[in-house]
Amino acid sequence: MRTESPGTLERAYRDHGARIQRAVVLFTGSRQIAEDAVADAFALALDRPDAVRDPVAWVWKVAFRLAARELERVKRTGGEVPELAVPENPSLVDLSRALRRIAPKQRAAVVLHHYAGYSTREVARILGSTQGAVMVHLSEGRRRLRRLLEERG
Amino acid sequence: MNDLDQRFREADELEVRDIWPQIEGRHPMADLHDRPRHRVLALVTAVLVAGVGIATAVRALHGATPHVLGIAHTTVPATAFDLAGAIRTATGQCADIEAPFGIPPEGASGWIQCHFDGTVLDLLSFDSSRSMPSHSTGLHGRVEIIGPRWFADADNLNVARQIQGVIGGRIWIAPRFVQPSVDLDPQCPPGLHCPSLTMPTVRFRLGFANPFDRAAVMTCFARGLADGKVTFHTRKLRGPQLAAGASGTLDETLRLSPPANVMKIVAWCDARPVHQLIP
Repeated sequence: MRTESPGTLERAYRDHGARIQRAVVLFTGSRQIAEDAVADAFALALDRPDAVRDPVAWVWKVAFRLAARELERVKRTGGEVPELAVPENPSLVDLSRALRRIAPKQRAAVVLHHYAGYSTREVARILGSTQGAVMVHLSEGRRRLRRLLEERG
Repeated sequence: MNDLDQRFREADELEVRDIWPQIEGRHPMADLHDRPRHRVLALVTAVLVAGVGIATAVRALHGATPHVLGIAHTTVPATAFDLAGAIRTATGQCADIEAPFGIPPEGASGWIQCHFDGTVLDLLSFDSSRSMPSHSTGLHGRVEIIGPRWFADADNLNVARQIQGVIGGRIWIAPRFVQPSVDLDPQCPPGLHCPSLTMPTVRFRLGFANPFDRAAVMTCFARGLADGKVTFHTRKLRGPQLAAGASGTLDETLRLSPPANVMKIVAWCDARPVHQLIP
């Protein structure tokens, strides 16, 4: 039974949903996985009003965890995430390609910090990690990402 | 603003779909496990409804002739198919193949949900060669009947027994659908076991041989279309799209997984042990 006001969560979705989706697309390289993860996260929030004090923060966290789990599953089953197709923006495709080549934890930290604008402390909370670990991932992720982007010209 | 910030700002141009309608239609697995009483109630209700529906379908469709449809959106035939009869005579091995990203294999027509007099039978079609199973990501709280080697799926033995009472078959207790525990709860520290959101480790299934063929599935689909009651789900049975009256274009199924990937998963599935059989 859903007791959370759908209106409240829908407003949260309207205000933040697209940005969360884009962040998860950057993290996974897949619109499909991103849509599923974000939709599941919002649906869970809708179904779990007691556990969700801050729906937006909660959705960020759960969406990234669900997306990470899906990526692991795809990898485990020998599947492959198709390359992100954005014909109108080759630069974004380059960014996505480069992101795919860095470690998932680094990628998540970089996306959450540089795209979503979260502080390292907030990123740590979302990823269920420590601030110190996030700073290491962020530093290494940035270094690798810059190098990959430079290689691509 | 540094170079990476600028680079990431381009992502704001990335077009994303409005998924709110999907969100409202979803029934997340974690929620079901968080509310066992609701889950049991939902399962029992689903089984009872399915049982009544199957019995009704048997009566309504008895003696009818299977009809083959080439593709999902061809003209709706007037002929019917003895769906419950086909379930009764079916047997088989495991086939809960989860294709990468939950996408049906090439040629598959996607999830199909047939309604017979209020009963919901969820079916999954497969490719025309019948050699490639399609995926099942779980129809939470409902009876699951999929192919090409079919099974009904249940969360506990009592429910499995009830299904068995209606459609026969043998119950398999198999380590299927084992999913890693995921900490979705913000209060659950990373790495720790959070019982309220842990996925089940064992599922019960009813196995059948002599699988449905594509004709059966498509006829079921077509019959539902004729009744104006069919919905189909192009991925993961989420975000149902009304098929009745639509052109039948299955946009989502155009995103297909490579057959080689599917076959890898088939091999993985076939290698899974079955722990126990209950006649």
